[in-house]
Amino acid sequence: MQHWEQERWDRLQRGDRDAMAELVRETSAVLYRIAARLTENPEDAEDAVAETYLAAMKTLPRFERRASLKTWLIRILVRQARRRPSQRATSLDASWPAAEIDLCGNLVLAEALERLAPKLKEALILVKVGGLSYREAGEALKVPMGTVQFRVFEATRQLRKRLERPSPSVCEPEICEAEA
Amino acid sequence: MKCREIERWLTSLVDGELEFSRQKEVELHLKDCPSCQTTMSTLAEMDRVLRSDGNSPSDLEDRILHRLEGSMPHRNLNMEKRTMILRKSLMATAIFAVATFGLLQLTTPSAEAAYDRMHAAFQKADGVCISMVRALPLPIRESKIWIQGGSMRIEQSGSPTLIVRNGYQFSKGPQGLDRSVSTWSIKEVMAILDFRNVRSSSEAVESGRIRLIGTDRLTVERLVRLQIEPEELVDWATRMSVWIDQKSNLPLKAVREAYVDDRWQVQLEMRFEYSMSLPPGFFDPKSLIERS
Repeated sequence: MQHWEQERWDRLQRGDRDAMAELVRETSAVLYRIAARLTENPEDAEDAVAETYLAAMKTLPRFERRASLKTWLIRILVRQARRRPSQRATSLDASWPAAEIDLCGNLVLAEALERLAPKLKEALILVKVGGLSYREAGEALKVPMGTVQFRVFEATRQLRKRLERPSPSVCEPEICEAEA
Repeated sequence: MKCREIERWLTSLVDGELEFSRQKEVELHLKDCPSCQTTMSTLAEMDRVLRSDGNSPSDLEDRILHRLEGSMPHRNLNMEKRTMILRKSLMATAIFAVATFGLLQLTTPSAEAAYDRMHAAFQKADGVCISMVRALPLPIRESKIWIQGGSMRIEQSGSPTLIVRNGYQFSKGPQGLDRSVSTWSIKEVMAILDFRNVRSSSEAVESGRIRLIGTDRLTVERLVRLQIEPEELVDWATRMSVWIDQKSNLPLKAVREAYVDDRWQVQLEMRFEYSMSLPPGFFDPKSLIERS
């Protein structure tokens, strides 16, 4: 563990308010992006992120420093997101326009992600959206690194199959033409 | 290697997580396979889209901090207090280290330090022969790598022999000797043998599987890691164990095992020999033609 990370843990475990605020500033954006994809709902995503920090503050004093702060927070976030039933936003939401519009016609990402098994989806999102390495994602999901590798592969394979044949219900030609 | 097998590794390649040895195989296949090239570009595009996925609301931090306000710690440490706490903590650490250093040294040598020592010793070693036997999942395929000075000779059943010298690799081609720029080096050999993956002591510690096994003559150190070989709908865990001679710090044996059918099965075994006397011309590229 890096020296600065050790120092950060020290400060957090001593209850340093500034350290907590710094942590929120540094990690809230990535936590939100992950939560948004896991819950498929921007409001739920924000709730999940806030609850993640609350849960983190509760467990901080007795937490053993086996993982990096980011991985630890993401592990809590995944638990928070699992408690919420996934409900995809009904429209192409403003939270992630680029991905949807770029791929409309060929890849309608949200719909395809939604159909993945939860375990596959979590691994894929942690690696691709959260930018975690397979090892870090393994720590966050409490599974071996190899399991993450397999899940990301399987998720990508299924995603690719579905995106090659987009469902007509989610990829209306007029929407694609309008976006183009 | 068939397209179906290659496809399994393309995702890892896109994620920058593919083992170096496998990466070479995959890249070689991609060069001549338009179908896999198409798959690769789809995967790369999906990766790009997912990684650039979405933005968080601009006032997210403030909103979160506002929601946490009531639960945030009340202490706002000033610099003076921080310095004092830091000093105390440093002092406590120093006292703890002095009190326990001897004991730690005897009972729990750092995995990372052991790896570093082994790596340094291996790089200096000469006349090395690494014999590899793959038992799983591929059919048994024996390989040998000899290293002397800056030269290497790589023999693998079913593949042409390679000689690596001065940054080039040579093999027997239809017109005589084929020469191409080589990416092989002792460093890469270490990487191929997966030793780089036991480098991180934190990884080994986190998996909770560092074991020390005493034997009569050698102190054997076992470093274990978890990895995967993805198989269609099957999770495979694999682990690597390295036996290191504590006197010379050189690796003696390494075994990679896979967890299949509810038990650990040897997947790859490597044995190391040192100070070998090799015949003259053993690393001469011409020997590839003369001997055939």
